[in-house]
Amino acid sequence: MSVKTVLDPRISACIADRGFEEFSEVQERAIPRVIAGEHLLLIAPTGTGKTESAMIPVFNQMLSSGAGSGKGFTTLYITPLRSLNRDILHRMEWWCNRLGFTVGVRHGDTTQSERRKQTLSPPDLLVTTPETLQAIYMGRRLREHLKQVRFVILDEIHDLAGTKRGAQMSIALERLVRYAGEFQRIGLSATVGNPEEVARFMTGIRPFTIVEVPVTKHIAITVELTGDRFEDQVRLIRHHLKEGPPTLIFVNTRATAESLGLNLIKDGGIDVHHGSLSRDVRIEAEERFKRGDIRALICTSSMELGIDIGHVDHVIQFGSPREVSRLVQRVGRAGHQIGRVSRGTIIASGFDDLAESLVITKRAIAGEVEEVVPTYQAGDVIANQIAAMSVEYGEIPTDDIITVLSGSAVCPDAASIVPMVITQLSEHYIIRKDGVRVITTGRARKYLSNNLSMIPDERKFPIYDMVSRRTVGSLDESFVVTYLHTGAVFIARGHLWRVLEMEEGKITVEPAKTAEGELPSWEGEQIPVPFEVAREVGTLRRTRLFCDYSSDPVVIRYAEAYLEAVETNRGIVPTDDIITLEQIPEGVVINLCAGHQTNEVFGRVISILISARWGTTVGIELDAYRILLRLPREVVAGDVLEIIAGLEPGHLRAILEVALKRTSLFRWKLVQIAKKFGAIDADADYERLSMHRLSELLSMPAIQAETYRELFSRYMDVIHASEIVASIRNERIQLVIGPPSMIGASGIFSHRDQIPPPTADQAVLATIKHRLAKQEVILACMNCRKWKIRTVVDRVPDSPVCGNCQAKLIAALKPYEEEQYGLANKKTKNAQEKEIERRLIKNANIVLSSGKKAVLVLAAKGVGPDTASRILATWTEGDSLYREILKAERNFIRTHRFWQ
Amino acid sequence: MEIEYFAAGPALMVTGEQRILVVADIHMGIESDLRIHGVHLQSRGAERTSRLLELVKDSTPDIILMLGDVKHRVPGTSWQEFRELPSLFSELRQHTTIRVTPGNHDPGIEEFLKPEELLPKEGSLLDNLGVLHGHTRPDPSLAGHLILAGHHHPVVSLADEVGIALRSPCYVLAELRSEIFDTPETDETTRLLMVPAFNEFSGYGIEKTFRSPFSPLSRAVVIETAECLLADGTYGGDLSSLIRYERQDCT
Repeated sequence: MSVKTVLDPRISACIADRGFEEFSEVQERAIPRVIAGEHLLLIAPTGTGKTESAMIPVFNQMLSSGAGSGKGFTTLYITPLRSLNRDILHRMEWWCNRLGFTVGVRHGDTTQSERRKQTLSPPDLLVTTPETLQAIYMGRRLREHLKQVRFVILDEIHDLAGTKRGAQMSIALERLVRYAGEFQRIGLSATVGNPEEVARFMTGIRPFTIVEVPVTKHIAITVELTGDRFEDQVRLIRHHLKEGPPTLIFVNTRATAESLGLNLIKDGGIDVHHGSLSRDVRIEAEERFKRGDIRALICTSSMELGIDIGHVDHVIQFGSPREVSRLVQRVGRAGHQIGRVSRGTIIASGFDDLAESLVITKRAIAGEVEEVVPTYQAGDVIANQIAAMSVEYGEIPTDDIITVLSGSAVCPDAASIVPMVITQLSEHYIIRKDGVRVITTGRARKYLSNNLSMIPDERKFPIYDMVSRRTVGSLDESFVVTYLHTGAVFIARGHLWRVLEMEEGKITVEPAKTAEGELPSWEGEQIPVPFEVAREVGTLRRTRLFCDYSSDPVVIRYAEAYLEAVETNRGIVPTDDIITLEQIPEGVVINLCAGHQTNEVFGRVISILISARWGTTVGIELDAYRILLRLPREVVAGDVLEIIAGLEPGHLRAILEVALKRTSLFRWKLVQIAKKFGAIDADADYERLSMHRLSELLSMPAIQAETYRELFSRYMDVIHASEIVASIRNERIQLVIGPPSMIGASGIFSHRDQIPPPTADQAVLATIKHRLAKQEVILACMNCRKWKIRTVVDRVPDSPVCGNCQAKLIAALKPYEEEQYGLANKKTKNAQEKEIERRLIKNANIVLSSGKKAVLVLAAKGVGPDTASRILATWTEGDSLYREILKAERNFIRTHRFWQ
Repeated sequence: MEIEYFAAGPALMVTGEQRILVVADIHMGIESDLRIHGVHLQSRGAERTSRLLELVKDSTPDIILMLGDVKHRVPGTSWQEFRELPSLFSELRQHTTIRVTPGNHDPGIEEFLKPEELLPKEGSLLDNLGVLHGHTRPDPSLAGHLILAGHHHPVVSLADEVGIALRSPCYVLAELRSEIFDTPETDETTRLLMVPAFNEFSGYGIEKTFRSPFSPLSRAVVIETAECLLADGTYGGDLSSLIRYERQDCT
């Protein structure tokens, strides 16, 4: 039976008007389910008529239930983006005009007069964003209109489900149930690896139906290899564009979009589209593409969501797409007509990029898309919604809060977290606790209007060039806190810069001439490579069955030759069951195919353990296939191997928890989350406080717990890291030390952080070591009395010798003691001068017996021969020796320094 | 004269004829001001009071010297200060003698103190030490002495080869140029010991203080010979090397 027969004749008339001959597969399957009143998750490629699949039956039901009386919003259509809202509005206006419904859009850009109109006479269909839904609850009259809601459509739900925005929206829907009673939920999604979980995210505790039309049946993707040089890559793209059909070129970073644009725009018929461009520029590019004025558009993830840009025939992905879902989503933009195949080409360069692209392509065709895991039990989201409910109701029993939250899938255990969150909120005066109820406060409304969104506000830091004395650009807060430190070199605006100072929200830099290795570039929107993809790249390196992944002889030959070359140079190829360690001048490279988030855990845990044992700061840089540890010379590959071999799978998280507190990433997250808990205003000038102390004080239970939860779910994959550690222990994965190889040296080391030593003591020791090494000393011969040189402790030989008489009786003097050498060598000396001579000879005797170590000790503040011989008599070495020196300096300062 | 450092304050004990426990910049009532600036925290005044009392009980000084900015609100006195200051002072009085050099945040502090507990704000000599808060030019009688001052909240960043590893409250010990006194009464060198803030929220990088000095005292510091001490009295290095722009390249 055709779907058409069950539709209201007015709808059928519209469909005829629209020129639809027949329904698409998606529509055939989805429309009856919606008419049956089921909660429906509809999974299908963009542009296959998903929106109509949801809206045709919804209009049908609106007609039959006599909606449209203007009493309130009957249907909410929620999308993640304002630009999508615009698109949907245009499409819905056509239907609503014919069916006699009113439609409106409401989001951040909506004018005041339009808003007022909506408050007075609400449209039947409201197109909006999750954040604006939050705002609607705040308006006393406006929220009355929500009482009429019968249908909620959640568009591009895969984009929201994994985020805090999504979690907030999920709870908002439960708040809506309290207001409007149960309503029908329809979610529209791209392909995901876990449809059931996403459906539960949408419906909470209610039953649901899933209709899925796999996109992967309709895609064809090839991987092409190009040279490392940018010109070669541009040439290949140009070659593809010559074929003529409308093409989207996806790139991973805005920087790449810009530089490709620079090369290709002059050819004509091409434009650039990315998030940093202004809205008008983007809309114009979309319109020009839609009209056919241009035949290609270079874009970033800004184009992934279903903005209607007309017909696309071919999608080029520049470099590995990093995730299967991203590839599917992007290629899915091509060939939208029903039954047509979406054609995509990945242009890869270099071995990592190629292997990763091959693996992702194979997984895409097999339909192995990543899961979208909702954000469960997020403390700050729950805090935000508790505050919202307290404002909405003035006062509300705690039990009611728990009931509302428990209806949503994102709070599976609301009862355990709510009391802690309520306590925290009341400490910051957002709510008042009154026995079994919470009551709103004067601050709550202001807090709420500043925190409608769960998207953290990113501050911009200006980059100030000391040399040219002008501001050369700006950096995002997340980049600053995760990658930059004094002395770091980074790329911005195509130039290299060295950080001189980071103070008062400003980065002072100077141009840097050279830099070692690849550098973090601020534009890099870091897309982590998933564990499964990186593991399969490891498998592919082991089996070398490249022919299973590609039929292109150029690709197969290149990949095989690359691995052979590694072995010809005596390197060991790291695979899914071999981890190799390579010693290089900067430190040690660990080759581990486990993806960014798992490597992050490894890198950090190992650095923490090294830092604890050797008391030094360890720098980490990593990508999906390797971790570079920047180490002092005394820590070698064997030590790192020993540490990895000694890891316990169950200990990783605990080790990280202790050490993370000292990292800049943790402090930054903590402040962001403290803002969402109302401890710090969104616009607060928190730099008034000394940040190193603020973070200690903010270590309050709920804020801290959420910080850890977020770090472990978004940045660090402890579960997979533990699996790897377990495999190392039972020898399913081998751990070997190999010579430096091409594999270890390649790749983009883009992820930087430092693990500081565990105690302040270690930082102090590092400082004194550095200071004494650079301390100036005068070496003076007490035998011939005719030779002295000025040098620094670092350069003193182990056993100093007089350059004149070859004697080893050398006194080590501080620069300001130089004149004493002259006094001691006078022919006739007074009592004081004789004493000086005695001290110098004692000094020289100490150097004679202890060599450079004595010079080091004598270079310390206020340490004379007597103190020096006492320190040397302790026979201490390394850190203990420096501790003895510190003790002596401290004693000197305590007793002598202040005598006037 | 001997000086002992208590990192837990930070505070220091100067032993001459008398034993004087010195703290600076307690800023009681800071939370109510932070609230105005968008940081909403419960008052930690009780914790601050007990931290100071512990120090006093453990070290049994003859005098507790507070180098100014005991309170925070200017002008006027906040409710938080009315709640917290009387108990701070009365508890201290049970164990020792109070002396306060009033700071720029202290207008109104007289209400809480006995007249003899208040020292002149431009500075005075106490057991041969010059003492003042440090926002004004010091009295000429302080020339030639060791001066203790607060006001600057010094914090130092200790960097190692990879990056900044530690930020810690610190003391700055420096020679003062004699121009700071209108009529220097002595040729003896005047030295300054900048005392770190007792308040746990306060801290201001010494690199900023000395690159763009904001007070008469910081402008008069001879940077070349100045030194930095950590909160426990550890020698932290020369001031000039700690406030340098560029990290030394370790080759």
